[in-house]
Amino acid sequence: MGLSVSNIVKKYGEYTAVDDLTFEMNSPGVFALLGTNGAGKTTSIRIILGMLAAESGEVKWDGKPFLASERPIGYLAEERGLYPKIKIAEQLVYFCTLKGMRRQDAVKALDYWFERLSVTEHRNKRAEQLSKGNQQKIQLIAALAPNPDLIILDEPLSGLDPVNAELFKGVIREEIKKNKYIIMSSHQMTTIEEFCRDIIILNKGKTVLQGNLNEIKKGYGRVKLTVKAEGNIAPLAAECGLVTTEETPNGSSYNVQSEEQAHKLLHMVIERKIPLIRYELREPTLNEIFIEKAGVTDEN
Amino acid sequence: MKTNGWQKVFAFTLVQHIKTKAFIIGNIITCLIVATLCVLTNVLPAVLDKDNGSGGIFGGDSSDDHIESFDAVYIYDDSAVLTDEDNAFVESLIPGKLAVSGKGLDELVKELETSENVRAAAQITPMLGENDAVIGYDIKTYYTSAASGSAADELNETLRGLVNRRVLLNAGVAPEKYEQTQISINTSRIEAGAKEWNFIQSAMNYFVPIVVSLVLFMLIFSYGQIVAQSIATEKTSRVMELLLTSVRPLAVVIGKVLAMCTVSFAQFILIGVVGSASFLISAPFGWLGSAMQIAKNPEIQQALENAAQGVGSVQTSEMQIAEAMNDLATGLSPLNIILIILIFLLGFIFFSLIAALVGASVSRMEDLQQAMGPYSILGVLGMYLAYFPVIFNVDSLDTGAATTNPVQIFSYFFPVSSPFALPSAIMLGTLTPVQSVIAVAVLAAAVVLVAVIVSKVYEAIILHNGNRIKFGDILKMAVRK
Repeated sequence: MGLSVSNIVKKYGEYTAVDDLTFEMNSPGVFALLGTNGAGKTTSIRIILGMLAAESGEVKWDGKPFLASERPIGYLAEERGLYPKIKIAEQLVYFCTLKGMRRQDAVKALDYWFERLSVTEHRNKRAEQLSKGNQQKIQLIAALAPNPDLIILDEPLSGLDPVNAELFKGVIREEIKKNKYIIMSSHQMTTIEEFCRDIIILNKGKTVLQGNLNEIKKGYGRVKLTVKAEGNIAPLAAECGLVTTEETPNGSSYNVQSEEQAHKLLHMVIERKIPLIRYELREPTLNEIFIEKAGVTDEN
Repeated sequence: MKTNGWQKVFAFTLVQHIKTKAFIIGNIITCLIVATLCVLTNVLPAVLDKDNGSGGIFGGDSSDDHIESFDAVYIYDDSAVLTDEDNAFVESLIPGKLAVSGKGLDELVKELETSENVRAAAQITPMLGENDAVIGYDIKTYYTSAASGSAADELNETLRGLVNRRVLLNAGVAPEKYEQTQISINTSRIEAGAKEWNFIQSAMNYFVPIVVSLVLFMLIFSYGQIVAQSIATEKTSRVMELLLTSVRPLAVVIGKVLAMCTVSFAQFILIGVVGSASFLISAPFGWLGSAMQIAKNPEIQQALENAAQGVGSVQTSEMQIAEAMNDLATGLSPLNIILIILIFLLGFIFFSLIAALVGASVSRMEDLQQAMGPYSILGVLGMYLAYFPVIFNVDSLDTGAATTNPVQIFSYFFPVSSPFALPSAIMLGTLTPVQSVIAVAVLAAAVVLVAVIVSKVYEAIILHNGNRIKFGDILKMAVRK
């Protein structure tokens, strides 16, 4: 059971927007679809949703061709959209019935979601009367109320204040617990790291990195060193062959070739009795991996 | 091409549209205007006739319109053609009012300019030919602003008759023979094979196509604009992306077009019902009621039959109205009503599908007006093709015959104009049933063609964001596919 995307190719004239995209979601959880602007994320999502036809490749659910019109998909688009002049409850019932729900079931589901996202008092207002954050909540309700197996969230937390961001995260966690298949696209890498098990990074339509996030990180090893001391350690770092990648109030950062290189610097700092405030040797963050993969390929 | 779900789009669009204040208020105002116009058209002529003291429906002139209304009439007979006998005749028409002024005509006319009395000064001058031979006469009547033009016309006509009589008598025609020559001779020209129309029928043939084409243009064209705006709003507000996770783009178009078509058709029927009801309710108080009463009269019916068979009888205006109403009833046969409804639906779908493409081609609402250019040109061109040949065919008011102008004929078979031109042509019997069916078939073929184009390109352009896709590019895209 699950979603399978195989060898998707989409071209606009001579330009290849998606080039041989392949991934699988064999079990419930969150899958991250990452990439810079124009990398092909939205096009890929539209192909999965059946909005766009691909030149080649196929999308399957449980081994059968996936038709969005036959199976409800929850979709929170990056660019939000509601009818500005129509009452919230009316348009949500419409969206739910379009996904095959009976009217009374839709009303019942909406009652739950209005309560869950604390927007009950807005149900009879027009969309144009709501704040951006509340409009975003309504969009999330439109995506989740039909209780879809597959949910696609494109930048779900962008523009939300910390309180509402936490509310959204809570809802996403609940959906994970309900064994939903979630594809999430976001530029907020901390959010991706918080939720996602598997990732795929696209650049100019091509897949530049793909796999389980923990394994990817392990594959890199502990190659990121940050040191903060009460003294100048730059000569010592240079002696160890380390080049500073970033200077911040939190210390100096270095890319290390091996853990021994980092340990050597630590010994030298201790030997010289330089007071050490911080020493951290860690795996790269997703943000660093993303910049490396997307940025390098971009330069190429 | 899957179009599941269009029914839900249809129902939602329909309900949301008829719930808007603009729609409700607009309809109330339209109904009030239609009802008022219909009641006034029916009642006003009768009221005016009554005020004028006339018993007839259209016929009566008030006494103010007659020669007797003058306080004084001055005759300057520069031709010296009239005799004392003629002047006495005029005097008999306006006893004590035929006056003689010591002033010259120019001075008198100047005086009339500011006079508040009901006065007229008539001048008869000879028209001279070779060797100063009199070849005719010129009669001019100057009248004060307080007098009516009709009374002045009547004075002119009286003097014309008198001059004419005097010329004949001077030529040796015996007075009793002259009277025998004064018979009414009507003239009319009728194209061979064409139906003979009375004045009311001619007026109906002239005005019905104008009114019907304008009403249809407003209903079809304006609702097409609403379809375009609705789709553009959904696209630019990104609601479309949400909809497309559930239904195909074509289902959205079908649902929207059919919903708007239903609303527009209902409005068309509403206007018709309100108009008819207003006429019927006000009938007893206006000319329509009189015409209906007269039309029920067996003698009138017989006269109508005689007229139809060419046996000869002069029709009264009431009989003309009754005959025109009979024609209209014949024109609205069940087959014709079906054809007219079909044309309305096809025309609506034709224009709305084009409008839907235009609406889908923009990514910003600000671009919509510019993008609507080709649609507007098509709509206005179609309306002009249907409208102007009729407007300029004033001759038909005399002949009664519908125009045979090639542009008008073309408009019946050209899909851009036929939705506006065909219904009245079918209603008035301008086209034969076979021609009507052919014209409807051509329109249906055009709708199919537009539908094929829409099905080929709509899905691609609805998700396009960025610069507006030009109409030409849409057609090229369709051809490529």
